[in-house]
Amino acid sequence: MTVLRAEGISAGYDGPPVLDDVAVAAEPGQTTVILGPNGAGKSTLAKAIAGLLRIRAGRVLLAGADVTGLAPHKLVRRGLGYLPQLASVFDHMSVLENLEMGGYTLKGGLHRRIAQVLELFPDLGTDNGKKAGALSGGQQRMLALARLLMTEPVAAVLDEPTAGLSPLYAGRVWDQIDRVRETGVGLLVVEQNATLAMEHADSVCLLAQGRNVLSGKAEELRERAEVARILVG
Amino acid sequence: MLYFLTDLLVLGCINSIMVVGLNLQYGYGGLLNFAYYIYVALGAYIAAVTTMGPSTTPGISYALGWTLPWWAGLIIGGLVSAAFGTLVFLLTVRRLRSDYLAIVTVAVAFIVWNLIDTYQPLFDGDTGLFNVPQITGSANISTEGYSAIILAVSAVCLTVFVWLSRRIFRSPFGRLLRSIREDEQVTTAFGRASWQPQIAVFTIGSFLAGIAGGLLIFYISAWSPSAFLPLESFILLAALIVGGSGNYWGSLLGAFVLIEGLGEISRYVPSFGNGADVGALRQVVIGLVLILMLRYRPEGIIPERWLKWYRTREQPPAPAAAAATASSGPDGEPSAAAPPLPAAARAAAPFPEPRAAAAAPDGDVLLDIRGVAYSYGGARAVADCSFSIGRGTVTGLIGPNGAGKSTLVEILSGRLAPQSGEVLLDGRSVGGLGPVVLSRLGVARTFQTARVLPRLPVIENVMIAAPAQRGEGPLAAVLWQRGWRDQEAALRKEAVELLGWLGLSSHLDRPAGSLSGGQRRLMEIARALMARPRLLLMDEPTAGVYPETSQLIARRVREIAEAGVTVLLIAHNMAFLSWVADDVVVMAEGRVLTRGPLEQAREHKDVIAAYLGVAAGEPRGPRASSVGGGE
Amino acid sequence: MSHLLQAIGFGVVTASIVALAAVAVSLQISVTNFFNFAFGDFMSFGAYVAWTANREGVNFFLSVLLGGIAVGLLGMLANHLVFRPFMRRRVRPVTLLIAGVGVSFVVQDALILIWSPAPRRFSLNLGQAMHLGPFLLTPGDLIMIGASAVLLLLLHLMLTYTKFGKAIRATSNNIDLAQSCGIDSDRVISLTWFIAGLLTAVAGVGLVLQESTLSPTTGFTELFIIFGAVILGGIGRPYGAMLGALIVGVLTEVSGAYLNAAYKTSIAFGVVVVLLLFRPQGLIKARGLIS
Repeated sequence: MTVLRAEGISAGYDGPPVLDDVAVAAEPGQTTVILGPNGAGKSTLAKAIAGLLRIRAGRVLLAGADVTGLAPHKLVRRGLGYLPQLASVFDHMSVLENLEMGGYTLKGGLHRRIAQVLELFPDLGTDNGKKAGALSGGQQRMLALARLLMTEPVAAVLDEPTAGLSPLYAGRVWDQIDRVRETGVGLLVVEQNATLAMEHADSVCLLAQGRNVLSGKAEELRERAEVARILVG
Repeated sequence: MLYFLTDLLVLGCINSIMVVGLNLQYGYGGLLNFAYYIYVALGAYIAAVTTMGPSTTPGISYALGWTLPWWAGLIIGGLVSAAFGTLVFLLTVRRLRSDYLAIVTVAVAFIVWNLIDTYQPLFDGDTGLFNVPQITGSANISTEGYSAIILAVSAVCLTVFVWLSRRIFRSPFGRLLRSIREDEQVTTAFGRASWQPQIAVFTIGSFLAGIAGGLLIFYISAWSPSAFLPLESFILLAALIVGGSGNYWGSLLGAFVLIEGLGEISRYVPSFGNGADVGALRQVVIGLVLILMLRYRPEGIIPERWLKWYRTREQPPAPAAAAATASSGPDGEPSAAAPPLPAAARAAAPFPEPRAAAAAPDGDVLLDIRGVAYSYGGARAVADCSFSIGRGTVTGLIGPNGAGKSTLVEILSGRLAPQSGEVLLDGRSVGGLGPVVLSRLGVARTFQTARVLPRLPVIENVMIAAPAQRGEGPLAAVLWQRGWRDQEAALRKEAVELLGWLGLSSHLDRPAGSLSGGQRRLMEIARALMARPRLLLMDEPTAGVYPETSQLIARRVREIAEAGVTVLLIAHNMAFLSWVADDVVVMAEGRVLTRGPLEQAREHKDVIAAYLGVAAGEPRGPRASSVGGGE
Repeated sequence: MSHLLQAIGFGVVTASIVALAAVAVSLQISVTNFFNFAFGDFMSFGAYVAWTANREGVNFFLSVLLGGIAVGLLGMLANHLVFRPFMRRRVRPVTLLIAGVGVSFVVQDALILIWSPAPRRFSLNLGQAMHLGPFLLTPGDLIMIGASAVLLLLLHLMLTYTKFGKAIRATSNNIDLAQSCGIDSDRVISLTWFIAGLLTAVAGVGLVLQESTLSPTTGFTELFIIFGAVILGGIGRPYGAMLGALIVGVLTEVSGAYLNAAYKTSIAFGVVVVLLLFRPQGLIKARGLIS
């Protein structure tokens, strides 16, 4: 039972559409990675699903309900989380405040939930008062993930969570993503680093020039040479 | 009745001069000057004190006190305002964002006003000046007669200034101003410094303000600080915007309708409450009209684009029958007869066979990059990058996201200075010389997101790039039309040819903002070629375009190279590259990974690894303790 | 020396008024990123409402509160009708400034229509000036400083400790991310205008009481001093705005004491302009609402 599905998506910025008739889906407790060469429209797809970009055609279904065109703050209340590519934390606010903002829509039990989330992220536990902007890149991503989990979303879209991180930290972030997956969240992860992403993915959705070109189970696609071909361009 | 009409016309003319002057500053130059009325006031005061003679009344004091003839006083007033404008401009304009700058101009205005109001020896403080001599001297003339004379003088001045606006608008100077106003970066990328034209137009606008002030004081014969409150500048601005910013007819309309018209209508509104109410109601109306205009018709009632004094009559030769093959003229020049891609061929045709591997590189190196490095803050974008490009070749620059390709192009175009290493163009070191110099040395570029000047016609967008145009300075523009009129016709013809060659002949006079993404990219190519470059840098020239446009661009790029222009382009579309590039340079993590024909690069294992990304590699250590265990 | 200290004392009073206004401006800019040119007229409006209520016999402090609510609502209205539609279309900052000019025309002249341009007398006679140490202040002055301090403290507490205050800080820090946390940024912006409006009205009343006269242009003439303080302190940084206000306030009074008092505003302006030209990012480098 697919928890997040986008189909027939056409979206763009000013000018011609960047995405044309694109489809992608996420199952509960599974990770679907969205890969593609430069200019494929991966980030555009993430933003469109997260409500930050107007969808010109197509629809988005969250837990079966049509949520196409809903504003981001409403999507959060429906159970969708989003991790943006750049600026993924409130850098002028403290770690604790970032988590509080993540839990903005919670009715009660905020601090209990914060404690629960922090258990999943031991790296963040000690200095909650530190400004998020003072954290390292990897820690900021961890914080962003933790913030996302505050609302116990049923599905989440992550836009290049390992961008700019060292291989070591990229691996750590992926381990964390795996742990998030284990809590039952359906994940869509846009990634530039295909090798690492495919090690952790359950499904793969390959985009090129705004269109779907290949989709399938990760274990089947992992060895196929054409994946490399498509990614190089 | 006649007197009433004359009065209306006099004030209308004088207000029009003010708005026309403000139009030069804001409409043409994009410079928002909230202190404009101070320049009017200065002109008025100077005109007065240079013609009044020394004070004969005790208690009234003011500077100068010469007895020059009225026209000398008028002109000196204009010049003083102009000088003051230049001074303020030099101090402020280059440093602040435009809206904060506008606020600073008010501060300056206030300081000047305060000074005039308080420091009596200057212009008699808050009492002001009276009995300013009439321009008819001591001749005994009726009030109506004097008004008629002032009207004549004002009308003549207005005519001259409208003519001036028109001349500037049609000149290369005017085009340059519009270009700076729309996008300063594009203008500097094509070799023009931006502040000289701006300071010139600001000064001219201030001169007009001064003249208007002088005329006003000769008409009213008196002036005091209560007459030139800061409020007046905003009314002028409202008139300018509502009438039509950038169009001198709009300025006249704004002055006559908004200022005079509303002012006169308010006479007929039955007064309620006290007399000030009608004036206040008028202001409320002005405010509402301004907001509504900005929202629904920001170009104003008479927009700038209605000034279509050119109609591109010269059309390129009619397209030949559908020909999808490349056609380069035998002499290598871009062929004006090459047809735009006909609609029939728009079905996605595959590219022709990829090019054969490039011939052995000839020893003629145009561009030599040696050890260039650049970091943004802590992040290293380009590190020890070295390669060279031969003259007349097309080289692709490829690599995964974050490889440093765009940064390298910024360095080559001059926008960034390399932090180490050298860039040699035809043997000459050009690193860090800035975009204006590099552009004049023959480097032209297109941008990753096509940057057009949206409100200007396509043909103007292209003409701006031609180097070394006469008439781009204010004096040459106004006084020496003979020098640039023929040049304009020649440039226009060249631009029409180029645009035709790129399939844009039916869009010549349309505002560039109405072009589609693919059309914008084609326009950018025309613009870059207009600059007659030696080196053409292209950043993703086919991103977001339909396949048929992509093919057209590929064909044209090859023809450009065959004409002797060297091309370096960033691209991701492998089909496009295989057709267009002689060879490719692959960058990853700021360095050159390999160099060679495209097919070889695609199979190269390091290149594949770079695109695919690296596995987490390192053995995972024990979880580092919290904060500080960072990367 | 005592002369200087007295001047500094007056400067602190002025600063407390300017601080309220500058913080209000800074708060609004931090979420909307443009100068509201009609701000001064908002101040006047608040003062007029308070004066009218007070004249009808309403208790003074309640009158001020009514003025605050009136300006708060006016701000929300202006945002909804004028500024937000522009911001949605992502126009240039200059356009928003000019739109603010339009709003200023409408508000200032509506004031004239409703209340007539004649200056009114608005003063609170609370007693004579007293010597407090080296300073010479009236009870009214002290109340002003006290009220300003209390309001700014309340604002600080709200921003630091309340959920809504944090939502404001989040919106100003990263509006897309705030929305992705479930924060309705339109509502946050609207309510920020309201809160800024409350402070604006109190500043307006303080201004009028200092001059003892109220006219439709009262606020407008102070506009640039306030903007100057805001720019000086770093745009969008309320704590910087407080410092900017202090500098501007003290500078104005001290220069007025030692030089021709008629020039004191000019000198303050001049210093602000010069400082701006050489340090356009403002005196306070720290960013964010709570530094």
